[in-house]
Amino acid sequence: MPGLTFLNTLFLAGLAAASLPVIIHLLHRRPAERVDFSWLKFIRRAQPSRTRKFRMKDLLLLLVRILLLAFLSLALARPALKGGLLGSGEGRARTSACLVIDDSFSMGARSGDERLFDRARTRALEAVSLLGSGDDAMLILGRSGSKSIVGEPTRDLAFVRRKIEALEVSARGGDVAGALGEAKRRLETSENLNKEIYFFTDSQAAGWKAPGDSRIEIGEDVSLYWVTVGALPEANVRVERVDRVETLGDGSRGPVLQAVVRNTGRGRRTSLLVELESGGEMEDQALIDLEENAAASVLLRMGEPASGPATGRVRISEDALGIDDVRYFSFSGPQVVRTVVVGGGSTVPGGRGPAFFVGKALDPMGDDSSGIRVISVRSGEMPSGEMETADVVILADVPRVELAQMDVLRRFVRRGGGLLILAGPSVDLGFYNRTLLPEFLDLSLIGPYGEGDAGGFFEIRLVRNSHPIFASLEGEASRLVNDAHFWRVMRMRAGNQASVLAEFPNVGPALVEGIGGPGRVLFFGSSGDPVWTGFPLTGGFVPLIHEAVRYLSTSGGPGIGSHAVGGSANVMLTGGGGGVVGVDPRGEELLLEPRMVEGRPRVRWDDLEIPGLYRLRWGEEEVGCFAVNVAMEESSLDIVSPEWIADRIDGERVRFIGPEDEMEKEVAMLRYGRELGSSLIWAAFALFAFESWLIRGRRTSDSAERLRKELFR
Amino acid sequence: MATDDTRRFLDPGVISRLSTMELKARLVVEGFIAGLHRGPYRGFSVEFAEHRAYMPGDPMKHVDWKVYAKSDRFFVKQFEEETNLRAYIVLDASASMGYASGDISKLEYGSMLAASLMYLMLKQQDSVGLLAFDTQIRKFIPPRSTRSHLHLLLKELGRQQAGARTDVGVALHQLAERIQRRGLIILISDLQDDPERVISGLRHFRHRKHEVLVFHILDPSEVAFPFEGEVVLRDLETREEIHTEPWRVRDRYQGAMREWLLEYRNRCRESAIDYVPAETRTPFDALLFGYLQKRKRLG
Repeated sequence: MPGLTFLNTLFLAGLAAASLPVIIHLLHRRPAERVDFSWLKFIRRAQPSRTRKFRMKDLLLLLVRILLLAFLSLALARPALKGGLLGSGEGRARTSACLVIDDSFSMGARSGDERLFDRARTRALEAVSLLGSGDDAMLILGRSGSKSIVGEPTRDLAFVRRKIEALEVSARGGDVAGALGEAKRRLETSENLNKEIYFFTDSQAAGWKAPGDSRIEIGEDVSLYWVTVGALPEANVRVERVDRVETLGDGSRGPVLQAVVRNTGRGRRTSLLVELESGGEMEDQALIDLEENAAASVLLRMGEPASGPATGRVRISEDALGIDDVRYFSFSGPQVVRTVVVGGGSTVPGGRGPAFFVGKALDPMGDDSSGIRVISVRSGEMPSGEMETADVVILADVPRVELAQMDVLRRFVRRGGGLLILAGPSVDLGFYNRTLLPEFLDLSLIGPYGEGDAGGFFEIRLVRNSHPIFASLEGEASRLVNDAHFWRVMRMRAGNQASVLAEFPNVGPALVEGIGGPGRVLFFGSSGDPVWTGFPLTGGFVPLIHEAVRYLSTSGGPGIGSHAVGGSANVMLTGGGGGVVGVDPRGEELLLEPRMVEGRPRVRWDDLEIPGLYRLRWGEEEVGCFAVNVAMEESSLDIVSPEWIADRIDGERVRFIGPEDEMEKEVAMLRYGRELGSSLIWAAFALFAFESWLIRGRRTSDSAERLRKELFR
Repeated sequence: MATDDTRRFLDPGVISRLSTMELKARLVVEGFIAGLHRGPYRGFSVEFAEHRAYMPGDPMKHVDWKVYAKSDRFFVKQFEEETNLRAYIVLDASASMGYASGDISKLEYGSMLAASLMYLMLKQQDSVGLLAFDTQIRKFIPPRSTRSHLHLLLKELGRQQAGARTDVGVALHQLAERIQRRGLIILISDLQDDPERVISGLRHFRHRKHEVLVFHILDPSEVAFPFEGEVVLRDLETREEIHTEPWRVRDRYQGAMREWLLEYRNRCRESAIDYVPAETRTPFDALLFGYLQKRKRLG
């Protein structure tokens, strides 16, 4: 029968019991007993004349008994009918509903007079109103890392309503697969016939973390109502990123920041105001024009050079989706980067070695005006005093490092110092492979490779364009390194604990970064020695070496970078001890207990839910500050169609409900209409009564006793 | 406790296990009397009441010689109730009386009842006789009041077997003609005959100035018709068989049985005949009470 299902199919085996009356009848069939009796004249008078009628009555009794047992078995098996007509009104089967409200920050977008999230709450309340007594509900949030608000099924629907009304949109991104999976898992324990997931969302494409071929399994017995609550705004501009960039020749003012602003909506935006704020003061402004779906970068300069980290925010005029109109930053590191360049000499007699080119590239005027102060030392003369205050150390084709200096170098990196190693013709492969590299990098050197300038050259190809060293060059990095020719390079093999940022095609890694910190370590497969390469003489060398040093200098210090909403911050502190107080953007304090890692205190701060600046204090001293920003993908206005969604959901019972659709009507189409168990129980009762009526004359005790009382009193 | 022990012999199931009819009768009556001593019929029995002066014609056996020895005058003992009742116990020994759904047939029950009545009556100095019949008079023992007569009566009761057929009406008419002296007729029967004929026979007794007490004996299964499944019912006299399913006929059967019994009860009442219906599991005291009530009315 179409639409009929059984919830406890095990009890269907009980249908065999329906054959019991027949079996009992057959077992009790035996020849009639002969009995002497003295009142046959009464029997003769009482003997029925219509035997056929009684035979029919017997058959009817047998049928009633069979049906009685069959109905009881069927009732225990909990049969149910589904369908739109049966599903409406009273008497439908019990329902377990899991309400999933997408609280990703795109739901905070305004559409008309209200936010999408407000509409989602209204629709969720409407869905609750479709539940009745005996139904239960759960409530979870569709943000990334879904969160349960009412995690266990409850029949207290008023409680669920209050929870819905108290919800607020989050700053997280969305995760459709995670939320639906969580909802399905929670519904699996329900024994109710109707299992329903309501997903209230803006259908934003960014919520689909795995938009490929992977499908979200809902299950055959779960109904999914995909409720689109409204359209995302057509216009949106976001502050996509803020980076600190170095401006050569101007160290007298504060750092220069580069803000990338992108128009993700439709239409051109003109004269968009971009502002830089720090410490509550507006530091710089710019006006930009933006074409549709285009980005523009803006340089903004902070006012005074600061001794501490550079913190603040870049914001634009608030639009329909306001949360991505602001981006917070916290850049650590000194204003003037102290760089110790350790030179190994040149392989060309009388020539200038790699340390010369590196030093000149970093501080061409020798007056720190580039923001980088270079301290040049010879190999074997690594002064411990300089190393104590240095931010970055560059080993420019150093053959080997004395053991005592290895200890100094090891401590330097452990306290957060940045290390750049340039491998050239002077390096001692054995020392590097056995002593130096195992300390800092999962890397082994194979040896020099290439035939010199007579045998052609190698080029560099970037592997990770998004790495901060390259990203701050705004896509120019590839062009800048294109002119670099390498006649001879150091062949090397990177291990799993190393990250290859650039490579020499068909040769191997060119630029490798160590993973694990605390100080950052870079290894470059060429030294800048003129015998090996002409790279120092090209236009790309200066910006790249600057970016590399600036990147290495931000390994530690009070400014400790940026984190995404919903994530955790694992912060290495430069000072402090004991209890560290964390202060979130609202000013609320949280006591964090540091733990010592490699001699330095480290604190972990989980569940960073609010965008803004998070500060770490030890006593009165600020020992750290980091920024937390929303995920940029979430501010995309791209949405997905019901067809696209249907292709990615593995479930038979999926309905899409638009902003104007009647939810009650749509829900009734999938909801199981009626559980027939109770009806069958009543039918069994009726059959039992009928059976009792049919056999009423077959019982002896009552009538005989009545007769005795009357006659023998 | 001893009284309770004796009263248990009022149960037909218990008393039927005894072998001799005399013992059965004695135990039933003793149990019955033990119960009476606690009841309203106390002092009924034949007991000394007073002395009166001897008058010519008085039997010499009633002279109290002890009083004469003391007072030198003749006094006779006067009893509270002097007996002159002549009772005829008429026992139906027809074929239908042989029916038993349990351990006791109607005839056995009737015989025990008759024996108990005889014992009781002779204990009261009444004279009692026995008439056994089926289609005709099978045995007639005239009433006597001697103790030795009891032995004869009980012996004859013990011999009774169910006959071949039943014709209560005819037998009663024959008996009415045969019994000349008026007395108490106690009929013990299942009355399995046409009520008109039976009542006619009983009226015949009334016509001849007899008092009539009818003990209508039925087997419990004749009342309840408790059979299950399919049965073939076989008539005790004709051996005729009827194949039936008892549940189908039970209601009508019980209805017919009710009407039949009510007719007897009503017709007996109309004819001033005492009518006591009983099942073969009914304790005997209930029936002996019936007799005593009748006896009391007779004075």
